Amino acid sequence: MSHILLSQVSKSFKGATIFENVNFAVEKGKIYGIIGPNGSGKSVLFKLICGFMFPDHGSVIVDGEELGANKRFPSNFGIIIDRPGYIAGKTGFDNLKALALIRNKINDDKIKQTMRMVGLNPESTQKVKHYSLGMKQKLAIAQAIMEDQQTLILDEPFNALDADSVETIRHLLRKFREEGRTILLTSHNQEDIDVLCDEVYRINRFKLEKVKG
Amino acid sequence: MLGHQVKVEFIRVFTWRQCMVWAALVLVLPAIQFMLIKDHYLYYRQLDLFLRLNSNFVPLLFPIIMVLVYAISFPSEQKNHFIPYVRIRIPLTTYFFSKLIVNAILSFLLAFLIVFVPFVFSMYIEPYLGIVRLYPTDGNPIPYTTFEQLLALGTLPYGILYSLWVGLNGMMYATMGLLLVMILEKPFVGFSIPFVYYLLGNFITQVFGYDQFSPTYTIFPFSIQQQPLWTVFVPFIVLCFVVILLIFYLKERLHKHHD
Repeated sequence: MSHILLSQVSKSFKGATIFENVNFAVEKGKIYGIIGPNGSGKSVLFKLICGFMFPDHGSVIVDGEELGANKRFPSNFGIIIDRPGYIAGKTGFDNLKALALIRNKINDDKIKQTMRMVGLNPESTQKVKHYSLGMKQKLAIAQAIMEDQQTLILDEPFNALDADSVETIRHLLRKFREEGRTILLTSHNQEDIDVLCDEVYRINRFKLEKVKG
Repeated sequence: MLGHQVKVEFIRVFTWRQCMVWAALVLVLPAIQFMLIKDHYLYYRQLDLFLRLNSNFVPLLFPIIMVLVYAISFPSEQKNHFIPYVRIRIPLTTYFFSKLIVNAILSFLLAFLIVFVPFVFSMYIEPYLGIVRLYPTDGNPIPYTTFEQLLALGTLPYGILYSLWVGLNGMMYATMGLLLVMILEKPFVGFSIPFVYYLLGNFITQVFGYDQFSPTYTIFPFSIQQQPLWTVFVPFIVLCFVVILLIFYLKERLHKHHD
């Protein structure tokens, strides 16, 4: 059984077609790359998989359950969609703590450990509004992985990161794959896709075309 | 799940900064008011001091003060795309309703205390301090105000019941503000509408000669002669109706709005 299955999915906005009868199956423990020009629907695809929006036709099934039928959101997903999200007037740690409290699965040490893992200082009193773009991106990655989410949906996770940080995050993602986690990512940098992804799909003419794997 | 999230919201809101804001609203505002009025009015009863303490900043700015209690922190979550990252962890309805519940509880408590603390000070502490001098009535009529009917139950029950009434109204205005910000996603507009509603309500009732139903006078009835108690429920019911409508609208629109 596929971990994530899109079956005959169609989606349009105000008459503009984004997807038409898309079929897409995701197996556990692999890294999938989604490529396509700006506005081709990469974020929409991720939002459909996360249950943030529903297809006009077809179904999105996660672990055998159709989103929208009995299940609104898949559990245990870590996401970055569109851009990093944060409360500007709080520190990075406080932002992650606010999110972690919701599920109450991890303690402060785990949050701090995750921050260090992505290259942020958990003890810093710097408010996120004073963070650089790269630091905000690292914070977004931290929230996506801190609760050991088993499926990561990462829209442009390498945006604004310096070369060292890109290498750190690539290393992390490879490690997660080895642990059996599933990762879907987009990147405008072909190298990220080439070095990380087991399978690559291009969005072309409202469909997903397999280009690697 | 809702219960846990309400607990989480309480944990998040109790910061030093927020406690300072609350302390300022409950203690500093009445203290300033007391300093301004203590020597400039004639007081026949201790109760007159309490009435005067509640007749300046608080009645004028009541809806604004109420959104400062908690709702004011919400726009920072909307502004920087924080909510999608919440949404993957908890249903949006649960998250928003937990915020509405916490906002309602805190605004109720703060509005209650904003009135009850000055009440305790005026009726039980100030007489020992003797800062304010009471004058004999010398035959002057005492201007009894609405809610003083409750004095028949005793001084403390009057103070508690009246403070509860202000608490309820504060809760409704704060809820209205937070709901509007959740719906409109424009903090300035959302937080202004309860204030405009309050002012407009006062204006319209005064223009048509129905002062006894004005939002201000039914919460802080100290500048109007005593009215039957039922009159205060008229604008309150209208306010409740508006808030209920907004809750239904939010519930209906929540997912469409964030998809």
